Amino acid sequence: MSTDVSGDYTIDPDVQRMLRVRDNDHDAFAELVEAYQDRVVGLLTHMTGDKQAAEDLAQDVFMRVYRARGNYEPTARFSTWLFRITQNVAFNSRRSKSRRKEVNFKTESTQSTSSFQNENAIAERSALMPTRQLDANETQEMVRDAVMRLGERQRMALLLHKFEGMSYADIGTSMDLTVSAVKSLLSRARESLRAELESYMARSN
Amino acid sequence: MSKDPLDPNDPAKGSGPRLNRLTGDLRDDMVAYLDGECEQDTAQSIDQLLASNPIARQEVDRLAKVYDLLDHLPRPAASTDFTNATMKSVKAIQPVERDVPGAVGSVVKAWIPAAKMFGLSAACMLGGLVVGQQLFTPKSDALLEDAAAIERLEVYRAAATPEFVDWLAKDTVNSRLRRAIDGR
Repeated sequence: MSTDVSGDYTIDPDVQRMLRVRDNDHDAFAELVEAYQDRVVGLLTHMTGDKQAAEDLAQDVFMRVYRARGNYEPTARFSTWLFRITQNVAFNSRRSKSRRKEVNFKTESTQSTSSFQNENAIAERSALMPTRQLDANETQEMVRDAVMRLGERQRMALLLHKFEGMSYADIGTSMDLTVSAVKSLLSRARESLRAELESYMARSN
Repeated sequence: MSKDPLDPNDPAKGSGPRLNRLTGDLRDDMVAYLDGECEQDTAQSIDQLLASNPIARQEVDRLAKVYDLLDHLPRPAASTDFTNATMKSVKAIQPVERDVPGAVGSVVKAWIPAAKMFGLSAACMLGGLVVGQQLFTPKSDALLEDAAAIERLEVYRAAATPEFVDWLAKDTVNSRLRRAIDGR
């Protein structure tokens, strides 16, 4: 995915839908919600570590989109604009809950929980199982914990790149960063993940 | 890229024992290389480095594997009623005059003319009150305005001549009288 160098974002079908929303076309808004709900909820779940909280925040994101419709101008791809709002909502939520020391991470698949308090959880867990291959759930939990330990900006950039396939330029637009800053952010995120997961990777090889 | 990965002064150069980890700009470039976000000349330099340096290859391989591990993350989906719940929330913030559905909308619309009449009546009453106050309230009290002159009436009476009275009538009572009495 790359930035449209022409700057004419109206060729983006979702921008066209949003322009219809600007004209109070509610069907177009429902189409956008339907198209992006899983992506926004998924992103916010990984940002907050809480599926239910993510659903509430996702609804807040779409409400903000709707309220902003009157002033909407297609200055970026719709997804870029949407994820910028998503990021703001996620960071605001994080700030408002800054006193929380523990976040429960619930998913429909495992309903497991994880704690941020034990900084050495991954290393300890993988050290306990040196002779056997970790199963899929354990691997998932280990990776999820490592991702949750990243700083929120690193995590957001990583998720946008990995799961949304966004270019550095688009991530920069969404996060209000230069391409160079995005490059550095993603590099540090990957280095942090490697440090967290190194022992696991060594055992799995 | 701020430095050449093949710079002889760069600790990452060659397959020497000094390269343990990618650091700084080189690591950033390696990650961008993996992401296909490198400039062409930087990508060529990294290609050369990887071809000649097994430690660099190992580092890049580890970074790539870490990224692949993210595929293990779950991809949570929105609940089945998410769109409906969101659309209901949207309806709740819309102006009542527009797009209010069904019977509720009919009731609201039926009350709109009555509300307009009530507003108009209230405005008329308020206007009448203001006009009435303007018409029937004295703008000023002449006795109060001339209080200073009345208080000195005996003095004026003793000193007055027909010419003096005429002179007084030509200008403001208070200021002239005060000046006359005070000798200013």
